[in-house]
Amino acid sequence: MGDNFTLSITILLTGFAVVFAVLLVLIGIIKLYGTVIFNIQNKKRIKKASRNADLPKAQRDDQPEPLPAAVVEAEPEVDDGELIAVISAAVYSMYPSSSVRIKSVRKARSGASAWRSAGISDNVRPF
Amino acid sequence: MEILNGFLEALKGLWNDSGFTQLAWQNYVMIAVACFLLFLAIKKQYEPLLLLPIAFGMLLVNLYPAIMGAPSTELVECSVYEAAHQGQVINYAVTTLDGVSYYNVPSYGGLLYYLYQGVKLGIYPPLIFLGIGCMTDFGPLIANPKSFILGAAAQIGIFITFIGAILLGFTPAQSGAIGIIGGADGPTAIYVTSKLAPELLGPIAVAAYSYMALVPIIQPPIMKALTTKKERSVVMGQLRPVSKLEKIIFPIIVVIICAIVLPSAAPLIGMLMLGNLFKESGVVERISKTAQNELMNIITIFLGVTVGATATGTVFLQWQTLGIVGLGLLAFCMGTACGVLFGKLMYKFSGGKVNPLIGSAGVSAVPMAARVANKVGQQEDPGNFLLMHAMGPNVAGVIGSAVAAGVLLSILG
Repeated sequence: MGDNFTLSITILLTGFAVVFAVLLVLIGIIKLYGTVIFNIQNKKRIKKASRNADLPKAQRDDQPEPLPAAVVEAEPEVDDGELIAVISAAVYSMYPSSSVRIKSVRKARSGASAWRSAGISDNVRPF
Repeated sequence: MEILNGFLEALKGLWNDSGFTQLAWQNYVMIAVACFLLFLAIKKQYEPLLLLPIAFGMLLVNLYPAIMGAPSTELVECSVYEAAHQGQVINYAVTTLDGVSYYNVPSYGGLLYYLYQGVKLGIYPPLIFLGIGCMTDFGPLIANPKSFILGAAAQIGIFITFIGAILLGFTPAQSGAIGIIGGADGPTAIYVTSKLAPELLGPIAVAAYSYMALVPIIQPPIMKALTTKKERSVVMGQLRPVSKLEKIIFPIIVVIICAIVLPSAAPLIGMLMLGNLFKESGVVERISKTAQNELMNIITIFLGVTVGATATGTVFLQWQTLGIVGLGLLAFCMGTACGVLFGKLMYKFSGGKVNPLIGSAGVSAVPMAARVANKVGQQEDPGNFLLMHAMGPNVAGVIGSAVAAGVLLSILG
């Protein structure tokens, strides 16, 4: 019993120490390489931006995409918090570093009639 | 008359071979348990992908125990054998005893015995990890590496339960296998048990998968008991975006560190990270798809059926099974509690920026535990989305339980 108790405490301490030590080392390394990669990629981005700034406006290759400016008022009956949260998450995932502000959300109006859409989808189905 | 006698003899032989005379009462109890588990899998949909094959394997082995029978050799007198086979000579080894020659006639094992070798030799669990790696996004963990602390904290239950098992009279190796249930990681539990205490594989696998299925029932009361309303309402800041390069480097670094420090964890972590590299590298899409779909499904069938088949009545219906189930629950609860408590510590040290609920996701059970953390958080504030934050500790828990398994195998193996 005494031996087993000693073994139990040994396992507890060793397990606790090793699991934490390994995972703490991983935290350190991930943070380190995360910072290094972030800095390298940031430098590249700045370099590219400054190169673009020297070029005339028409020749710039990485024009920032127009932000989804103020997407109109929500329809009063469509007040679905979950839906808006999903749309917000999608927009933020596309523009993570930009300061996007979603003012409102509205349903896109389809220009085509149902018959026209059905005809197009029927014709392009083989592709 | 002779025909009638022969007919009756044949019927008698069939009756003697049938389950009515061959099966013990324990087998019938296990058949009932298997039917109940099938009900849970089909009607209640509790982890059906695993529970259904496990329950069916349990059913099969208790109906026909020889399906798990190991191969053996029978000594048959050469003259008798040849007379029964029209004098055909076979290349069986011959043993001579007291001047009489005998053929060593092999009898082959049951179907599930051979499929079970993948469990016994520790092949299936790492292959399952390969598939899991292909399906796992370590992005939330890379974005917030501190999640590793919560993944580690939730493993403490494993080691505390080890002490409990020792005190209940289990051997150290058996106690290690029981404790690993607290990792809430089925493949890891099976892997460790197959190495440390194969005799307990049935009860431990069934307990591990049952608790994984019961995460939404077991965890919330513990999470609520250990946190205040204010803590549960914390809305965490958005995670930073993680670049593709970081995601590619991650599995390589993790496998190097873990395999050097703990070589015995290398099969599990190695396969997990290989699968993840398949996914993140983006250059082997076909292999990645195969590993996470076809291969994973095939292995799941084999693993589930054969693990279920270890639960024969005579092995399963013992008092120690109750002990294992009880200790497994303790391990699981302790893991959850330790994760939440460390989450509280992080809440304090971060100045209230970390929601302690995400600590509960440190017990692997991907992604169920993360979903539970999200759900409990939303009970306080429906607009609080903790899912991605909880996925960090959740996937860290997978790595943490594999590291804990490595520790147990190194010391007790």
